[in-house]
Amino acid sequence: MAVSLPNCWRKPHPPVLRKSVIVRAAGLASLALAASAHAASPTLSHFVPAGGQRGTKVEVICEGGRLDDAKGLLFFGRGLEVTSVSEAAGGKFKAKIKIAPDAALGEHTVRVWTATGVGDLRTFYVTPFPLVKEADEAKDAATKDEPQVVALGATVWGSIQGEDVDRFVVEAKKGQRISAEVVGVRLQPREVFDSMLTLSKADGTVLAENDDSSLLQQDPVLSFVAPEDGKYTLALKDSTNAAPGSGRYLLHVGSFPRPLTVYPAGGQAGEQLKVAYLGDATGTLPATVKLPAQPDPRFPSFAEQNGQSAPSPNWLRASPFPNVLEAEPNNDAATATPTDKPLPLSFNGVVGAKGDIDFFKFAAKKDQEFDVNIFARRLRSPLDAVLEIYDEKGNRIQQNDDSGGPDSYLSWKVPADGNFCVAVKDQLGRGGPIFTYRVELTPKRPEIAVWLPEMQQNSQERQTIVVPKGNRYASLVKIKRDNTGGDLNLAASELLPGVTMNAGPVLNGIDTVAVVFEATPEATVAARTFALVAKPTDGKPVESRVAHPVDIVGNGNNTPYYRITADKLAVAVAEEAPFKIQLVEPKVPVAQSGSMNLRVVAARKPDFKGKITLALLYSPPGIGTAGSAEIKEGETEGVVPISASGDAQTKKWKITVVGSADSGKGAVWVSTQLADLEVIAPFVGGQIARTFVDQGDKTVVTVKLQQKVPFEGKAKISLLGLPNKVTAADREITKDDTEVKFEVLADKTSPVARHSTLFCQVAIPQNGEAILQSFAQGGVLRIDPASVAKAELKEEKK
Amino acid sequence: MSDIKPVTWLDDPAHFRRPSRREFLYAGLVGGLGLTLGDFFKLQAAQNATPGIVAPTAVAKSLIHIFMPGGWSAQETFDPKPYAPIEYRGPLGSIDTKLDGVRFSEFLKDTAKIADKITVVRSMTHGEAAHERGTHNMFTGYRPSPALQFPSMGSVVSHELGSKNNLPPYVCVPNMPNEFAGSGYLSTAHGPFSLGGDPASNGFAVRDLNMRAGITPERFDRRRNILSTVDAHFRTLEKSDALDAMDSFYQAAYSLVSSESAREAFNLNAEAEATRDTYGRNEAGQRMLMSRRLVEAGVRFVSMTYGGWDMHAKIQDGITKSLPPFDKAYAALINDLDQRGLLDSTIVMVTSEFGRTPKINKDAGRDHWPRVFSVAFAGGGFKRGQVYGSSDPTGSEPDADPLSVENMAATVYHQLGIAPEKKLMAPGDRPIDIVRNGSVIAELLA
Repeated sequence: MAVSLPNCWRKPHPPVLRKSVIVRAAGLASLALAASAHAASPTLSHFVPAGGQRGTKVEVICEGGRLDDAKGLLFFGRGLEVTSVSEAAGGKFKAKIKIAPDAALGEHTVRVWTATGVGDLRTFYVTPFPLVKEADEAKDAATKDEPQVVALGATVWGSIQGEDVDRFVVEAKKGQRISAEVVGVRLQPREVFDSMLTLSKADGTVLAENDDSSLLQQDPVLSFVAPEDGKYTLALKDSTNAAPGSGRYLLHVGSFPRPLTVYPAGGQAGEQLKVAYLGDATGTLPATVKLPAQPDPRFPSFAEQNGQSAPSPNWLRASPFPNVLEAEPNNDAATATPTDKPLPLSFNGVVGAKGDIDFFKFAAKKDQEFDVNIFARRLRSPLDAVLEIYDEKGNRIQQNDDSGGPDSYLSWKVPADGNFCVAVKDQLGRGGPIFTYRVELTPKRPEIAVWLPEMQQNSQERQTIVVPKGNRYASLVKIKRDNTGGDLNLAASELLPGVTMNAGPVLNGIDTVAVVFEATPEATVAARTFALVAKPTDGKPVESRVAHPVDIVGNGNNTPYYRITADKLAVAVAEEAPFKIQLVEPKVPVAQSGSMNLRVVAARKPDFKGKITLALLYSPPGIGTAGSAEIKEGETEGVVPISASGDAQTKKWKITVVGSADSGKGAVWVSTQLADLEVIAPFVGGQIARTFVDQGDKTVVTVKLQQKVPFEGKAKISLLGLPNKVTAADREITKDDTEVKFEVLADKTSPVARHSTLFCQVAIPQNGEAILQSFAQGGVLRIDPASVAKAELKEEKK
Repeated sequence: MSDIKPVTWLDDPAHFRRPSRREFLYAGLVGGLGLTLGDFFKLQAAQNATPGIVAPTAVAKSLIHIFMPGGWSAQETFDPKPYAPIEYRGPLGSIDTKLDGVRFSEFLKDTAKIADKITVVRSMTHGEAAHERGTHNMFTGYRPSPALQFPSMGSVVSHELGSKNNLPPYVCVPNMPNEFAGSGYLSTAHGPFSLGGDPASNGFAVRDLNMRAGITPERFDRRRNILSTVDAHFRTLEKSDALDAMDSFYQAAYSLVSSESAREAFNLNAEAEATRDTYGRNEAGQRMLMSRRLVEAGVRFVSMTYGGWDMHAKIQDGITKSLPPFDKAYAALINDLDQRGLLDSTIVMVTSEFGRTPKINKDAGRDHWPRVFSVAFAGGGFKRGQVYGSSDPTGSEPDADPLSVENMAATVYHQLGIAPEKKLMAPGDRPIDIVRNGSVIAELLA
């Protein structure tokens, strides 16, 4: 099984496991090809064609950027294997893909990998039909609009630009079903190609038309029963008559069953579920589906009839608990569909007509806590569900619309022992035979989701682990805890040979950490998928898994058209990088309201002189940086200044600095080791007594000290933020001092004003280094005009 | 602390807005060139009501408004914070300037040398953290209102001071930068005349100033005669002030097209190569040089933009790339105006719609921050060599002498000899102050 579609259609937020769609991942990419030029950070924009027939070999062109050293494709699902890869040229290469006869139909996810990186996650489609290339448009006007003849049972691949209309003629017998569906919007990562399909008779009479569909969202789908023997024309175009530059599509045409939803939309894991596929042109298609033994939040099931399979699935859930099916009439609490089964349960129904509302009755105990989740839109039902809970008498207790995206969600604590009802309706009062839904009432369950966050807006850059041989690579890891807390440990499995992961604990309340991967110098250049989990340090059993969201088709407003949640991450060992970096472990902690310079040392290959950009990958709470720093061209050492705010959490954190450089063909990223950074409370506080000084005069500024943590030896204290040409010599203090006096000298030209910019900085010696800490911000020094100066002024006026 | 929240790139709808049909039409009709010359002069005479307020004596004859679209960072330009914690200070260093104790960004090397000729305001403040609203503030002197389209300062100057030396009074370099640079409730005649091309590009020429290729002066005269015949025919059919006025509009346009000296104002090639180099052979340099030529020739108000300063990410890279050309050009402009004796009669103001967040964000950039930012004035009676106002140690709030949009506008108008309290007539016979509740800030002035 290797198919996945987006779950959080409108939600740009981190994924929630119970609502997530999972991409099955497996497989170790197994290919080796001599690497050519060094070209880091590859990207993959698309395949041409973007699919192939099951049980065949297909040659596809892979297009993207920095692919010169392409090695192969890393398929997340089973059944697809790359048998050869051509030399790359002009940002593209050819890959021969062998598709097993039992490969799952529909969407597969894949990344390109090169000797120096792993590219974007993209989709590839396995079809039951032979591929047919869209005929090139004839040059002469006479034949320009002639439609292309295709047999029923084909997957056409082509493209549409601007106002193009691609027409295809199929021949059908009376009563024969003509089905068509498009993969369009999903194939253009940075453009919106919103296609529409029209089916018409030979005389031009339009029989069916579809632009968007609940099943395929922005992509059209239709099925129609031929009214007579004859030729029928399918026309595909952009719904705005302005297809983007690429406008690539796959069009499945055939007489395959094409239901739009399935009822019930799930069942108990492992059971033989009797279902009805709904929405096909020939009517309801009954079937029995063997659900997987393990619960599955989104299980693809393909309608089959007369030996023909739909090219893309309908969606079911396999849950650990049984179903309750609705029995109409059930439009109020009094007639609610009853059950004597205990919770957890799944209530299934169809909002069958306009204004329909479905009630289910169940028993619950006081103080039980449940997640109440509707699955409708996520399973591609057109229903925009509203969720309500009633008491037995029909009084509404709770209601929700859209907490789970278009699907609704409630967190519900049972107020008393007794019978209750859950009710489902459409937000706009709509309904119809395909408006299926499934309400799952489940106890709150601890879960932990792990993923690599987006590092650059609208880009998949640095969302894979690419470790150069004999080097390190650091990544941020995001953690989302549901119904659980406490410290966690990260653990990776199925990493490549020679690659290890080093991660500190994920402290309670922290949702982001930096982890460092290291590859031995002997590691082989390769790529594969791997799993990462976060488990409580106390050994409590909590389910944890990768839920890595990837926007396949983004748009400017951070609401992707098409998002996939992958259940595995990608790791690669890359060719050596031209430099390594090491963080010089600080021997002292950083104090609150203090600062520190992190020193980073680079080991460069002899021919690499370029600038190395540095950044603290993860800033613990209250730790600030300038965002970026650098090791200058040709140099081997750089500094990353950090500061700790007054309320930085006093803990030990794991930090790492990442370094990047332009290899000439893309950015190369490496990191330092994972190092400790401890934040401690300040040693000294205090206040600067307000005072004044005349221009050209001197005064004493007294600082009252509050000793907070005793320190050894003498600490240098400086009065900083002084106005122009005002000086104060540094002083020394010990842990016993209660005040310190600075002699302050003002120049004749020091600006007359009330200066509130003074503060103290103290350098506490420890382990041969200094802990820098500031206090008394906002200290005031007033500079008055000197009397002499005044007199001179008067003289001048006279 | 203020209740103003930093606005990230994602928070500002302006980043996602597609041009509406209305804007498209607007841009197509007016934005591209501004107005055609005929329209321009035709509309200009439409308003001349004067509500009897005595105008102040003009110190400045003209103004160059250098606008930094996107919201430029004060921390990385005129108001570095070398003592602030690193996440406030940012990645860049600072340098000494010609003013004792005043430091600018390390990339304002040339500007540092002319710091004694300018007034830097480090306490500019308003509350609008979205691009469009902030821009509206800085171009009109008003907070945006759903009820009224306010005229830009350039349009008000055009309305109040009118044309000089056959030149349009209000010119945008290279184009009208945003919808708030327009004439608002004033007649569109007071909209900007736009160059329509970038002075920095090769083959730059201002549209409409020269006869179309192949049109000889004789042929042009024939065309004018035909037009007069048509107009004369209309005159026999209808009596209208607008018709009566037509001739003078055409005359104004003809005189611009046929006046070599007026046309020459737009001819950047007339500048010495050395001068062009001094300003810098780039957008900042050539636009500022063009601006100087225009005010020298008699344009009242030149509005120019340079760069994109909306640096939500990698501000170090952005500043490193964009600031040096500005620095070189700006210093060249101030020196050039000064050497030509034009600085005292020309206000040069550098503004932006807002500043940027005190703290560096996770993308090594800074987000929108209108609470305090820096602007600069030079010439036209503004004090030479001072820093007015200050921001607090982290650049979060004004610390001393906050300068409001209204006070800034009032001071600028005052220097140009326009009474800020004067009322202009908006549609519906609504008298609207040129600046509402604005005070002239004497400390800014020499």
